[in-house]
Amino acid sequence: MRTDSGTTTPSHFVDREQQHDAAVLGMWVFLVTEVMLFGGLFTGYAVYRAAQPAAFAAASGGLDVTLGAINTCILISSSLSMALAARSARLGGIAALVRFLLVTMALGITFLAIKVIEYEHKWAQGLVPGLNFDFTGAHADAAELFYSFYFAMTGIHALHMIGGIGVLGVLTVFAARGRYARGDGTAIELAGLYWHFVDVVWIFLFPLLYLMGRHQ
Amino acid sequence: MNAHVGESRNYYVAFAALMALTATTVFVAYVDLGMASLPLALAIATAKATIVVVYFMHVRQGGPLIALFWLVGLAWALLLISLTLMDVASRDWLPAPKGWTRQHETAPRTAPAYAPHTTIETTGGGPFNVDEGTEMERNLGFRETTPPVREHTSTSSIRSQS
Repeated sequence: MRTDSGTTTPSHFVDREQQHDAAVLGMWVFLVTEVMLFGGLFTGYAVYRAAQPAAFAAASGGLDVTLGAINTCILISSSLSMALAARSARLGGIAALVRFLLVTMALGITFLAIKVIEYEHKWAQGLVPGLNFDFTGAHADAAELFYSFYFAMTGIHALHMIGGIGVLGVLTVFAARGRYARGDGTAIELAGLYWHFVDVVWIFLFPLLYLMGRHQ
Repeated sequence: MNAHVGESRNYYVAFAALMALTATTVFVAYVDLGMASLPLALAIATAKATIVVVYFMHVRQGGPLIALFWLVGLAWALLLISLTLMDVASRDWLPAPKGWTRQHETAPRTAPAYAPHTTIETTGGGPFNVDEGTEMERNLGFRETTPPVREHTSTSSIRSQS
């Protein structure tokens, strides 16, 4: 079953190309289910924001735009290094592949570290619904709702990041052992698709959570 | 759907575009654009997502089968969001049925917006016209035999306990 070595093709595939296409299609199917998962969260956010626009805008002011923007740039950079890693895998450049995978993981861990700092700030500010929520101002209930969405959406996103970093860690070990030396890096490509998708989710989370109501 | 080896230059161009759009969306967020604020932020986010999907995820090299799958996924997500928002937005368009009243006309302003809009009108007759009962009883439309736990009727009172 060492499909990435290219030495064997299971009998239910015609050739390696079909095997590769089936794997990529399967990954896209998985990503579509992920769209449904995050789509539900975005829908809920849209409904309550439409009901309480002023309160959501005010509550959004408690988030740190600078840290959010830095994290956006970090994730975009990690997508670049992930794309370059997949390219190296196709070209058979093992040293470059390992290097780009390590950069991608380091950027992902940096993202999570900044997220931890943000969560810590929210705790200190008393903006954690259910556990420590002490929002002083109008629309406290709606603000609590906003922060419930904030923690649910960024939390699930962070879980995806942790999972992605774990996958990349395993792939880095495989790569260092020379598994992708033949230029068949389907596994790297699939991990890349997942990583870019998590990036796309954050691209929508950032303006909706951090940037609403900044001009007020 | 062959494994595609693109020019690495394309990746750097896409990266630069994503960074520029991020700076743009942060900048315009501080400008008062009124109602245009949200559509513009979503448009920029969609443009960024498109760049990622096209240049990093190579969706155009994926072939028709992959295009079909992600288009179906996109269509379902748009259905999910648009039909839900249509429902929520249009609930007040029709008058409440005779003998019913809307939640937000009777409940305090702190009531969550997701509560059902219709509740049984209890003041117009029946055994409850003397004592309207608690808010929960009015919302449920019937009287509980045991005293209701008032702390559970809204999130604000849950918080005040702690």
